[in-house]
Amino acid sequence: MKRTADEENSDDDNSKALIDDEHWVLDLPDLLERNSRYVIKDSMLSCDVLSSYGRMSFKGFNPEIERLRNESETQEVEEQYDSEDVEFAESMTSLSSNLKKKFEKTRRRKKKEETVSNENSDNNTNSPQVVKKKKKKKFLKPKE
Amino acid sequence: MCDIGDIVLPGDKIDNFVQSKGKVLLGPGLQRDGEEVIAVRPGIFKYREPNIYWIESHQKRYVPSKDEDVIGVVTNAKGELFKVDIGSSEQASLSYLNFEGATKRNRPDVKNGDLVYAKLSIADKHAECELTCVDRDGKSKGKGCLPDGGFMFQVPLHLAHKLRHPDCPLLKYIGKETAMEVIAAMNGRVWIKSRSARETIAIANAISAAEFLNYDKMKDFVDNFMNELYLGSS
Repeated sequence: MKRTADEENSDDDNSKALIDDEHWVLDLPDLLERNSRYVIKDSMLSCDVLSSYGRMSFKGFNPEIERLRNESETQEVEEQYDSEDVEFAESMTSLSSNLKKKFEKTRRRKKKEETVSNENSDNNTNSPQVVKKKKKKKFLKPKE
Repeated sequence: MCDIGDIVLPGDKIDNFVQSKGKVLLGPGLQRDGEEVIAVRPGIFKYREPNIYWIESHQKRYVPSKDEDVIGVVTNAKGELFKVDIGSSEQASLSYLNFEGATKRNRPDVKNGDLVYAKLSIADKHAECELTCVDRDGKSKGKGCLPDGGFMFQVPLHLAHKLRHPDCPLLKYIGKETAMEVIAAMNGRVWIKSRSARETIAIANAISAAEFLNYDKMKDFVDNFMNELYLGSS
């Protein structure tokens, strides 16, 4: 099983003459292949727009198949959006603020956090929780 | 000289590519002879962005090609390698380990005559094809033995391609009318399962009859078909 997985990864390019256990090819220099602008594909999957997955279920006849189909469709949509620049930039801004925090001096950061938490406690009703968090931890003697 | 959408015959020279430079992908029906490209099948000359050309022809014989998914009939379920008839010139082999959850001890329950939906992991002109029912993560993703109660029939390859085309609304329309499960495999075999034998036969007939139907006529076609089916039963 591992072998087949490796094969799938390795020979994406079918036009190359590969020599392995399953595919035997005469080891001659390819005069025709050289410098050619034509790539030959013998599968329709690589030509026409065909869904790579031929199994479909309708009206909940086989829920598992419908779930698989939906998953693959949402994945495709996500892949499309992943590459969008706007989203990338947004993710980068949050990252930069995090990094900025890291390089700030600790005292200043503490001050800032205090002010922020004070503001929060003014606004929020569950202020005791925030105060609790801020308490300095002390060494607790184990009870005997 | 032939334009996109024209009918070409074997031996026709093809030289008017849209882009004069860059790689050109030649699909089924086109062959390179030196620096010339000639058609080797009769059919419609097709083009797709960015630089892909092929010939769509009427064909029933299946020639295996890597990564295509097929429906096969198990003809010998003994030993380590199952023999599977996928409609090509030679039978393909399917290892009993290439099923989801199969181990050396836990053998999949496959009998002679069972239908399997599998993907070609190795396809070669000169050697035996190999099938697999799992992807590289070991998940089946709908592949494997097909359940009892379905119906499989053979259609021309271009119809199977048509059914899988994202723009083709035929199966969606049929699916709106009735609950069913369908597989259109690349080897031209279509498998259907629905609630009753009557519906299954009707769907099979509808699919076979839609071979030369345009997309925009499919809605009326399916409506007519289903009307006859349900009016006949009541």
